[in-house]
Amino acid sequence: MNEPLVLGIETSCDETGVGIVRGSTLLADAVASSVDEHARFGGVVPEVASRAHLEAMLPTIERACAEARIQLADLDAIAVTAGPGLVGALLVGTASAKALALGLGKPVYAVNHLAGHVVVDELEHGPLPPVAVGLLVSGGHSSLLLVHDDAADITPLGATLDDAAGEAFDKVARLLGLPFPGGPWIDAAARDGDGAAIAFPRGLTASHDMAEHRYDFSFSGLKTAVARWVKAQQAAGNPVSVPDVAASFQEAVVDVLTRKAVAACLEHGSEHLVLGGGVAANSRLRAVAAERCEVAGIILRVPRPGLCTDNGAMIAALGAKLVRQGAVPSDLGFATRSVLPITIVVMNGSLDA
Amino acid sequence: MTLALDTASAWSTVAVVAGDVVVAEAEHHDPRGHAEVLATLVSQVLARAGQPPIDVVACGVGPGPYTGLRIGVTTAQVLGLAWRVPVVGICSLDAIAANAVSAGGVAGEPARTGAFVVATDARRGEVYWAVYDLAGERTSGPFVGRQADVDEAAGALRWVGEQAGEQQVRAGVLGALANRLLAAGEMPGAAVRTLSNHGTDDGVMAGELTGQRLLAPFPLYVRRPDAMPTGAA
Ligand SMILES: [Zn+2]
Repeated sequence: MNEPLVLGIETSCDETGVGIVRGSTLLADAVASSVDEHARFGGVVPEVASRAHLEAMLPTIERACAEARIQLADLDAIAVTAGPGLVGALLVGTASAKALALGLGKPVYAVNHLAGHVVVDELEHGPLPPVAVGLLVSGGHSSLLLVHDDAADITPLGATLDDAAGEAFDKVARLLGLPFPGGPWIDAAARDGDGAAIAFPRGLTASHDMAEHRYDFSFSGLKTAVARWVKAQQAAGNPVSVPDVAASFQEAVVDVLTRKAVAACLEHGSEHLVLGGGVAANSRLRAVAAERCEVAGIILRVPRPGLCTDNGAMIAALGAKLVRQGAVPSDLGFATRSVLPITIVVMNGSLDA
Repeated sequence: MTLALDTASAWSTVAVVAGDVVVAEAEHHDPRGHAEVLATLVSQVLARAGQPPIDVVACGVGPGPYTGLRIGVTTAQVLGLAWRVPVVGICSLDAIAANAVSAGGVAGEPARTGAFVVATDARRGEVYWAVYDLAGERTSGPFVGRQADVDEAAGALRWVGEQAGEQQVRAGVLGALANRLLAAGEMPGAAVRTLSNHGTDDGVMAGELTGQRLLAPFPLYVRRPDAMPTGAA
């Protein structure tokens, strides 16, 4: 049998993504972002994102088909993010996917966004052997996952208890007068700073926290600590070094993320750590993860930045894997879920109870 | 053969319409249910109509609660893409007016002013509304505003149904209306699309739709997003 030709639709946040894969070969990755429209609001505005998704959907589907040099009628299946994410945004994607599946007479797979972040790495680095650990960090999520099979069997190890890592970057950037989204700006500012200049707290790393929240994260205390530190310096009339604050904040985030991820690999006998999500584009996170994985004898897998951020290719890749595994497609009546546990990789009749 | 659908009200409504004749129609009442039921309703209606080849998709473009409205508009747009057929928009209030006229609910009453108002719930104590003549032609609107504003503007005009109550759009009526306009050679106004663009539509501009009946398949939000730019709050 030919490798399945699958189109994936992703609209969980502010990127309208349409990707097309044949099996594990990436044919197209079209993304339209509404990030510039959110910048003046200092964060993603759900209603603005939903309106932008609707306007971008058709052009993005057409661009992906042109890029892949295929006709919609050639497709074997449609895959779409059913959750987790902003519900109004998700609904534009799921309505599109249902209509496409219905209009073309092809099956639709309603899938979990987070699983897509793991599977996408296989487009670049080949099959992911079990068992692997996934560290997914973005403005919307921060999770550690134990991956037995990225299209069927994923166990959550931990997640953020408050802010997502990317959210902390945005908030600290705002505090330092840097633009939204904050990640790239903090990363750039930190290059001229000293990460050891200020000892910011490492959330949930104290021994009593490690007992209860071994693989969970918390970034809200860190954000408050940065705000308090900046305020104190200003009150004392001291100059605030934006590079040093950025570097020290970034160091605190990266330290906790990589320490817990490597510990999870060692504890669960995983030889592979996969990074995903927008924050995986952070240069310091990549560098520290590489260092610590090297020391621990773990293979670090990081997709290129364009595939780390939200995109349709990751959903298409997951869809293609489900088709090959003979997974049951989703019913046209499937629900969209702003909260979707990672234990549900695809929503179909039997699992969607 | 036209596939018509609307999700601007608490109903999801779908019909296959040939000219003025409703071949098959289905609806489902659930203000939060559009996303789950709409595709299934389309599938059922197409099956009941005998899987006819569809030449046009017509969708209600509101105004109405945004999340549900977007489900219908997105579905219509993508079906048009998959089938390679044109997609046209109809103001959902026009379909309510047309339904009232065809049901005799307007013409059957003694006309005081020769006109009536259609209003639907816009939440937050406001209504979406437009004014129609007795033939069901929109003479102004659609607008969004408080009930009191509408009362004042509408004066002694007759209202359709309960004021700001749940108004049902019927896809069969909407499809027949679209077919009539298409048969008369009307084309969707290109300018209308800019009114639907996020952030540019403040409800005043929507009033410029007066006289435009066949619309581009984009939602009539009639309100800007609520968010305040940072620094403006
Ligand atoms: Zn993501």
